[in-house]
Amino acid sequence: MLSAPAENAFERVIHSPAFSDLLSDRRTVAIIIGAGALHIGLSMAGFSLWSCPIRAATGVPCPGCGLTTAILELLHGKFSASLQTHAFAPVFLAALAFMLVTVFLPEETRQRLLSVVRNYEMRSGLTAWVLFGLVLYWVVRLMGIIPFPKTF
Amino acid sequence: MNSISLILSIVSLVCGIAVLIKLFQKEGVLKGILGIICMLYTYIWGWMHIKDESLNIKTWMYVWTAVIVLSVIVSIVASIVMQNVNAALGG
Repeated sequence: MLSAPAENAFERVIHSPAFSDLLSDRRTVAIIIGAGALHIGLSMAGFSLWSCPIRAATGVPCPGCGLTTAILELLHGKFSASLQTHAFAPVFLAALAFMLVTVFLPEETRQRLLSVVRNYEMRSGLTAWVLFGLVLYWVVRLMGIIPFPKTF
Repeated sequence: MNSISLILSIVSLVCGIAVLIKLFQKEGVLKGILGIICMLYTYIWGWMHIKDESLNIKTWMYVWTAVIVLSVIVSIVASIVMQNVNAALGG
């Protein structure tokens, strides 16, 4: 009796269309892409205006720590090194590329694409599984089963 | 310099967590997790919702931004000091 509402809440979270929600506001996507590109560009040039507050304050890497380095390695064609630094780099790079595409699409095409993404997300729960998978990957790395690289 | 950086990092983390809590409350679990994975997203989200009076994150965002700017200044000063020390030791 008591498990039904919890199950429903979990189902709701899994099937909520978080990615298409994010994509629905063109301005938000443009700002995220711009900030991401600036961060990656500055990192390529050896500068960093942004550092992870969790890692800087506690010394413990957050689930996303290493993603910038891994994406840079991926952009330089170092696939193996990239996957060792952060296994989710291809997923995030693909998501960023997809976001970039949606910024420049005509409104009608964009809305049609968003509808497809929303339906797929709600059916498959892909976004939720990717995010939960990333958190699980982080826990596994913290436990030392898959160690963090020495520098990232 | 290290202790200043550490204090700034802790303040930055506190501000980040305060905004992250609001992100979880307003946008749900998935975007909240995205906010943990990428605190830069939390920061952008905070600025995009700074005018939302119900969230009351204005002070947190101003402090967070000031801390980020100070951190950059501290790291630039630290690198200049280190260069001078290295030059003095080398010369």
